[in-house]
Amino acid sequence: MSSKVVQVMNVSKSFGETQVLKNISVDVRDGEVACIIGPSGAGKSTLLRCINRLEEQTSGMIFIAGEPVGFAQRNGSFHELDATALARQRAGIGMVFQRFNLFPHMTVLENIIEAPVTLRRARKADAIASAAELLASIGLADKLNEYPAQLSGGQQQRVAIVRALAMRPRLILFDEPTSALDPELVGEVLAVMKQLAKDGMTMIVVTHEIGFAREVADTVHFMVDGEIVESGPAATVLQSPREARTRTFLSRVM
Amino acid sequence: MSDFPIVRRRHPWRWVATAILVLLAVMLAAKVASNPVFVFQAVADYLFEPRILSGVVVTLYVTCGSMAIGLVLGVVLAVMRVSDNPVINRAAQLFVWFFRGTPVLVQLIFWFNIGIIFPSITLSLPGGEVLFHLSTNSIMTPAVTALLGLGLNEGAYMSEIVRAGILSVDNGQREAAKALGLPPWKVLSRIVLPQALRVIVPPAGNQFVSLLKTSSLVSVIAAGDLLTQATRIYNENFHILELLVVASLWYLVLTTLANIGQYYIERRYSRGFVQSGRMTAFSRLRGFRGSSAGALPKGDRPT
Ligand SMILES: Nc1ncnc2c1ncn2[C@@H]1O[C@H](COP(=O)(O)OP(=O)(O)O)[C@@H](O)[C@H]1O
Ligand SMILES: [Mg+2]
Repeated sequence: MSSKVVQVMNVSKSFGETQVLKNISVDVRDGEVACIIGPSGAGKSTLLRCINRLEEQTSGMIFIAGEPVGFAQRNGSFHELDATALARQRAGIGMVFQRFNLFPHMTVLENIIEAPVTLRRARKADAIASAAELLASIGLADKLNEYPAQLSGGQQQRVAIVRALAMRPRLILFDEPTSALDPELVGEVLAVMKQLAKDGMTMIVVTHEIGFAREVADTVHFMVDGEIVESGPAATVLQSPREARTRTFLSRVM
Repeated sequence: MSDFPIVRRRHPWRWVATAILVLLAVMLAAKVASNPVFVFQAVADYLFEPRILSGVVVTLYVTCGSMAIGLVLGVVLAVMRVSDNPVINRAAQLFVWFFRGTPVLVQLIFWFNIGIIFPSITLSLPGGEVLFHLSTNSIMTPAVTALLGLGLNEGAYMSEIVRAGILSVDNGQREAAKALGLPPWKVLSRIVLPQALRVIVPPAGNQFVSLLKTSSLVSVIAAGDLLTQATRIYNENFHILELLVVASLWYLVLTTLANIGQYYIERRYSRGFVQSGRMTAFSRLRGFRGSSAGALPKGDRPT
């Protein structure tokens, strides 16, 4: 078997008449940090959302650990999964959103243990213990019983990362995790992500933080108008891009 | 230590308005009291009369029962309304259209007389063997009719309230829940509905208070509620106005209790959202005196 955790194969996506993703193919290896950069409206979020099937691609197929996302492969054809089976697949894919999307009616602890306990991944006592441990590791041990509204944006986003981690996912998708933050809070979230990368988590990160990409990413994919224009090792794409469009974009964001 | 002696603003017009209103109330009370036809003693005598009390109990259970039916039905219909399936969606829309478009009074009388077109309910196997057979009139007692009639109608109204609540929840919440791997039913019951409740509870409380009073319509089918009992008694003794006052006093007691309950339920479901003070219903009632220094939070008090 390959060590490819994610295989995006010839994925296209249209919203009505407009084609947002045009025949995209990307592979992500186990433990790899892949950054997707590109101008607004390029289709970066849509690609990420297709990977955990919050959006359904119009054509093409996405595999996670060899299994097609949203389908069951039988006798050479792909049978669409029902909602419950799809939910089970999604449980193995973490996602961190730009706007955090913590559940405001639950405390920090309740946010973190909701999915593991409801889906019977862990007994409640164990879930609480590991939530407390994860929170302590990012310096938020004292926020256990606070509501999200009582936390700063940076703290909320770190809790959101812990919430995703609590499901012990195979892979975590980040959609511009620092874009909604005040500049002085960006660092604390990136620090948590760096630690995750160091621990060997497979990550796909849509970001405008070129500094983070240069330091942490293994590969960088540059996307424009629904296409991946340039892919390669982070150093190559960021220091000496082949494509003129990549150079123009990088000169504008750096 | 800061030392800025503050003299709070006076509100003289509040006192003038209060004096005028009290005066008017006293004049009205005197007018009624000096009226020889209105017998105060009758109000006192019948306020705790057993039949009236049993009417209060029936009114309470008809209201609570049809509210419960309305809530469950409302959630089901609202979920149907936000479903992608056009058939399910349309069916719910049709239900709401029908029950909101016809008077409850007509619906109540209709259900009460349903036995005319369906005299019996029979469940039989295709072979003709009868599983059970019941006469409609034995099932559709006034109490059942009242619950059914008011409950179905309430469901139609509640569905609109619940739907507004569901739509008020940010889509990011649903996506985050789905991304965590929660199946659709859990997304709804654990994430969306609890947040929707914050928007649902205030109008639902209004519906409940309104239903307490609307339940008096079931007196037309003699369901034994508060108004039915008051009517029965004044048909015997002709103290019509006195008994209507007795009934009204009880309705006021019930609606007041409902308002207090609503306040606490609202507070419960606003957890985690910006809190508008931690006053109890009673401290709110005392709010009139609140413009003096006593209303300042502890920490802000000049020392
Ligand atoms: N649900 C949707 N319906 C219609 N168009 C959409 C929808 N979501 C995204 N789009 C369009 O798809 C394009 C790509 O969007 P997106 O993936 O969010 O870009 P990015 O994340 O790179 O900024 C945009 O032109 C956007 O308007
Ligand atoms: Mg985006």
